[in-house]
Amino acid sequence: MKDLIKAQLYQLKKNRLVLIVFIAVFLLQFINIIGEISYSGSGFCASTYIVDMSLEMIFMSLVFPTIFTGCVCGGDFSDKTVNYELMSGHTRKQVYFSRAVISLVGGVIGEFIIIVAPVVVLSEAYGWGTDILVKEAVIRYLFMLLPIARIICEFIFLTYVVKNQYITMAGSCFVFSIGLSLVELLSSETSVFLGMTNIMKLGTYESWSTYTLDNTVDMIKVYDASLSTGDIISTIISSVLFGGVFLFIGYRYFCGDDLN
Amino acid sequence: MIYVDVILIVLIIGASLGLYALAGYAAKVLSPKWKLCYVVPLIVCILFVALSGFEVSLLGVYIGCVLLFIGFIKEDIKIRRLVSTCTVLLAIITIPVCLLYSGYRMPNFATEFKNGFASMKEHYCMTEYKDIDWDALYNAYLPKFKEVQKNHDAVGNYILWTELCNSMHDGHVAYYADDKVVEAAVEKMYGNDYGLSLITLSDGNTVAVNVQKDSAVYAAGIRNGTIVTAWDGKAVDERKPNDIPIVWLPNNPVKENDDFNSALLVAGMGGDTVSIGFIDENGEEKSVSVAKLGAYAKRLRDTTNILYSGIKADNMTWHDLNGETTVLRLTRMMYDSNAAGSGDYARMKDELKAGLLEKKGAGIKNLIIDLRSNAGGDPNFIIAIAELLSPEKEFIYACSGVWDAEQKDFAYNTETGKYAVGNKITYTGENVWGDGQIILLVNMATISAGDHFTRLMSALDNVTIMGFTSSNCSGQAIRGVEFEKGALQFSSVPTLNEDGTIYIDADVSRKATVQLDVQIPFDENAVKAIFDDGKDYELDYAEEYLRK
Repeated sequence: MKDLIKAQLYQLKKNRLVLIVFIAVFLLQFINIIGEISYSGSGFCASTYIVDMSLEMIFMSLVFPTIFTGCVCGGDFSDKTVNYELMSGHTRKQVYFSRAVISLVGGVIGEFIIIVAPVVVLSEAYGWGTDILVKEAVIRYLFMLLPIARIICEFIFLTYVVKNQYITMAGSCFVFSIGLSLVELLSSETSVFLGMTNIMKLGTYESWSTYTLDNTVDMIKVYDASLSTGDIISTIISSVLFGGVFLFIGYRYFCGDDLN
Repeated sequence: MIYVDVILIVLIIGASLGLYALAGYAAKVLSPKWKLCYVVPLIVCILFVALSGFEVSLLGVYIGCVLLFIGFIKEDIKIRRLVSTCTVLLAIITIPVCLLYSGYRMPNFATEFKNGFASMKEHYCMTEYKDIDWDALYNAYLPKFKEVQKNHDAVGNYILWTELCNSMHDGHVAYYADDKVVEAAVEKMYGNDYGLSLITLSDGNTVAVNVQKDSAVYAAGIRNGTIVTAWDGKAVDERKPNDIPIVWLPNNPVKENDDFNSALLVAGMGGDTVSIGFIDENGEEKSVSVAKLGAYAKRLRDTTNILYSGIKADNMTWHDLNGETTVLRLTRMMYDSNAAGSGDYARMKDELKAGLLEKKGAGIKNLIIDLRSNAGGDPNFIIAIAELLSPEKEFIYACSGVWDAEQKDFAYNTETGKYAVGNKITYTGENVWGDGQIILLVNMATISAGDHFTRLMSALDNVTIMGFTSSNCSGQAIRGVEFEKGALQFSSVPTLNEDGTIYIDADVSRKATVQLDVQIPFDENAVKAIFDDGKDYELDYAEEYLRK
């Protein structure tokens, strides 16, 4: 299995598509922020970005781990590398899980870099702000990696079913466009039963508004970024359970599949 | 059943039947793609749960979907057919379970209480001022809400919330539910109807009002104004309840206003029959036992409508009483959506100014502003009217609090019990009405912005505040908490006097802060005029007052 992982890493080094997508998604975050700053006429601090904009950015950046998964898991079906690996004595379990591990680790790390970078840059440029605490944001971002990993598991399964990286990539774009619609549709009712809605739950900051009788003072918005124990436990359970189930289904399917 | 659940059940039954038929075929063909069909129901089920939420009544369907998943793992025709059959049966059983289970799609009332209460405890702006013991309230009500949750009792949940809100003696604290729940709750809360309501006169006697003519009490000689001495074997005063709200009226911060209503609630107390002691027209004490006619809620609502509604006319309409006096009806302090959105009441002010000048030009000297049951609204509306009616100088309306961003609350000094004072809100009078007399008619349901206006006008020499009861005395700005099937509102934004003390609201002593200049006596004449002759006694009294 080690050899298979090493081989995958070598392939990734040579894979320009993954690199281009990573840079594109990375830059897209900053283009959006610059657009927002030029629209609003002033810079905004990191905590304001997290509560106001980060969720849309996170959804958008999910394109990277899915394309990454498509390349890692689906790329070797078209040139029959998978067939050669099996013929050279590797078990299906090794072939399947070596790619799954690379997809999961690489996808999660890449996604984490993409979503955290704008926060760090904004924090340096404009300061952190008062909307939420750093500790609260860190906890939220770390727990958000769980549903992201779960989504990657779902795309590992999908890639092994369709055996075509490009269909997987197109499918991912389709699913994320639905995901963005879900943000609008389910914004008041989020659960942990879907990876998307779980990310929404963690990326949506409860707030309440207040005001003063003085017309010169704008509406005051106060955020509550603390996570309840129930939210944390349900996120862990649902991510591990559903992620595990999809990995298992993908594996079972791959084991019984005729690879021609 | 909600349509999403019906669709889910139908889909799962259909999928199970399809998978039963597929079991043999999937085993014959080599491609494992057919196996994936056994995963589809589980994925569909997860999507539905994500969209419509987890519902324990649908557990059968959820288990069925997991069972079908076994068909993906075990490539055995018998097992696949067995799990398909089990899923169909479980889905069919789910239908009566959903229809019969009282907790189907019901919110968790205990959790809603905890969340709503926590929000109120954190943001309520008069905790010290009204001496509210949050922990005691929580400990008293949590077991009750747990019981309500156990019984899935939406009506009981509403009753508990209204009791809790009422116990805070703040007209701005209220719980709202849908009409069906409220109707069921009031029938439960207010007892039985025996054909009459009761009310206590200013002299302390309690009399019958709103007596039904074809009832046993009428046949026994009880009429509107008959003194009722005993109810169900006890003196009426002993029967008067404490802290039972009349849900369509705001809670009463002022104790005197609460007392005015208490006899109204006595008339619903009793079982299938009730004995009523009364003094007949010859002055003899008599007793009659009467059977219940139905639920008292309808008569109670009718009686309070007669007592509190004011002139039944649209907001900002004029009604000339005679050549010298006109009435301006204000049911709420709102004009139109444009003004509400922008806070610009210039158009409304011009309209009102034109009306005042026209009346003045027609020789009218006296203005009665009917604020009875004014439900409140926008402070900018009040400023616009106050400017027209006030002398030409600057007045202070009220002061706003100071927001402390770090504390995430309004700055408050716990030692002095005062808020930090922000900007003063002022207005300058235009004296359009001049020295003409103004009477403000108010009652306990004149609340919020209605209270504000009463307070501002009470400072003017040519204004007389009048009514059976004082205005509500609830003047803080509010915020709301929404639940799945209800909503809670409470005072959260301090409105202050110049020294940082609370503006208008009655404190723990429950005394009116906006006093009546003339308290109209609620006597036999009032009862006869209101309940026999259908007259607006308060308005007639005001007219007579001006004439004198």
